[in-house]
Amino acid sequence: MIEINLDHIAQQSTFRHIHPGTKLFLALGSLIICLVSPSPVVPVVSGIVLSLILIIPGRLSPLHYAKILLGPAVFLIMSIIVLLFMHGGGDVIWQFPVFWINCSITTGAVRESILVLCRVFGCSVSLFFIVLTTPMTDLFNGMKQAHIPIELIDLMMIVYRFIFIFYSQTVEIWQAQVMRLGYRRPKEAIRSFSMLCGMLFISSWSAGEDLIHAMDCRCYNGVFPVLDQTEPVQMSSFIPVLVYLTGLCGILVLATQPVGAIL
Amino acid sequence: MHIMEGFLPWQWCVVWWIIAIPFLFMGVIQLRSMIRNDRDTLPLLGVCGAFIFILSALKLPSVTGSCSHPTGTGLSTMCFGVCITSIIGAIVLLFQSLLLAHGGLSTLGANMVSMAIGGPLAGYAIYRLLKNSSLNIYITVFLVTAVADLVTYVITSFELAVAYPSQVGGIIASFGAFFAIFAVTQLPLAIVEGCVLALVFKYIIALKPEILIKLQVFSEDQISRAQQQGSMVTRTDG
Repeated sequence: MIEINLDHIAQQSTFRHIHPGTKLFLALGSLIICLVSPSPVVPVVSGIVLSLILIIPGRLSPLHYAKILLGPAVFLIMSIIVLLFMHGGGDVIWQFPVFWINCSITTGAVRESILVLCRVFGCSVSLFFIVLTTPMTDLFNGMKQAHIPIELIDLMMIVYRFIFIFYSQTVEIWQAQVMRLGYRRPKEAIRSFSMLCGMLFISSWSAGEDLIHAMDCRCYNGVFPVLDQTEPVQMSSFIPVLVYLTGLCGILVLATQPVGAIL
Repeated sequence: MHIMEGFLPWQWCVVWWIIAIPFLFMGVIQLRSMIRNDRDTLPLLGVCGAFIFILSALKLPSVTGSCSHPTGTGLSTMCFGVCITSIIGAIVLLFQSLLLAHGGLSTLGANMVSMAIGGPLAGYAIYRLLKNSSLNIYITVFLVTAVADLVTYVITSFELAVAYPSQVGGIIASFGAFFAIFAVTQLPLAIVEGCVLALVFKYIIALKPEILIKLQVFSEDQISRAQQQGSMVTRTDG
C-alpha cells in the first residue's frame, strides 16, 4: 500500500512557491555531481546540506523524513552485503569458508561499498528534494517547457489523477476483505487479492469510459489545456543555488586531487 | 524491486538510458498513431496506467513469508503490446520514484530496460506463441505473467552484475550471486503473480469479457470456451 504520499508533503512545503526550474536545477545538479564523484565526501556533504535545508527552513518533520530515507534501506543493505564479498583488491580483513567457496572481505571491497553507500545517500536525498518540494503539477508544466511530447504529458496527468481515485477504492475493498478474514490463509489471500485486482481493473476500465464521455461533453480534441500558474524565476533563490552548486563542484575537484597536490 | 537512486555508476546509468530511449521513442510514435486513429485510447491507457501503478504498489502475499509486489507488466503487454507497455511502464516507474521513493531518476533507464522493456518483450513472445494454440487461456496468462516477472529480475541481476563484476569469476559469478539473493523472494513471487493474474482474467471473463474482446487479447471463441469451462467448474463446485 502507499504508506507515505510524498506529493502531499510537497504541496505543503515552504519551498512550494519557488520556481520549479530553480528547484530542479539544485536537485538535478547535486544528483549529477554526487553520481560522478569518485569520492564519498561529495555525496555525504550534499546529502547532509540538502537534508538540513528540507528539515530546518523547509519545516519537514524529521520523523517523516527518516521514514522516507529508510524506505529503500533493505534493498541497499542486501546489495551492499553482496558487494562486500564480490569486490577485491587490497588486504584481506575477514575470511571464512562456506562449503567449497572461500569468502573474504578486503579493504578494496570495503572502500567500494562505502562509496556506493554514500552515493546512494547523496543521490537519494537529491531525488527526495525534488519530490518533497515540487508538486507533480509543477513538474508537468516544467515538462511542457522542456518540449516533452504532449501526448506523454497528457497520459501522465491522467495516470496521476486516477492513481488517487483507485487507491481509495483499493483501500475500501482491501479493508472489507480483511474484515471478512480474506487474508487469513495463503490460499484465501491469493483468491482475495485476485478478486481485488479483477474488480479494480473492471472499475478502472469503466472509469476510463466515463472520463471519455465527460471530456466529450467539454469538447475534448485530444489535448488537455492546463493553466500554468508558475511564478517567474527569482534571483533571490537562484543565486544561492548557483553558489551552492559551485561550492559542491569545488569540493568535487578537491576530493579527486591527491592529498599532496592540495597541500 | 527496482535499482535505487545512485546505486549504479554513472557510466552504466548512461548506457541503460541509451538502450531505453529508442523504445520510448517507438512507444510515443505508436501512441500518437493510436490517438490519431481513436482518440478514446488516451483516457483508457491513462486509467490502465493508474491501475498498473496501484497493482505494483500493493503488497503481494509471498510464499516465503516476505512481502513483495507484482510488476503488472504482463497484463499491459497482453492488452497493448510491447511499445505501449514501455511507455506505461516508464510512467509508472517515474511515479514510483517520485511518489513512493522506489527506484530513481538516474537508474530510471536501467529500471525501464528490466521492467518496462525486457520483461514485457519476453512475456509478449510467450503470448504470441501461445495465443492461437489450443492451450487453456488461463495457463497462457499464467505463463506470460510469470515469464515477464522472472525476466525482469534476471535483467535486474544482469544490470547489477555488469556494473559490479566479481573479482573472482567476473560478471557470471556476480550475476549468480545477485540472482540467488533475488530468487528467494522473486521465484515464488513470479508463480504467485502468475496465479493472481490468471484469476484476475477469470473475473474479467465472467463479468466484463467485452474488454478483452475490444482489445483483441483473445478471440471471442477462446473467451466463450473459457466462460463455458468457468460455468462448468462453478456447477461442479455447487
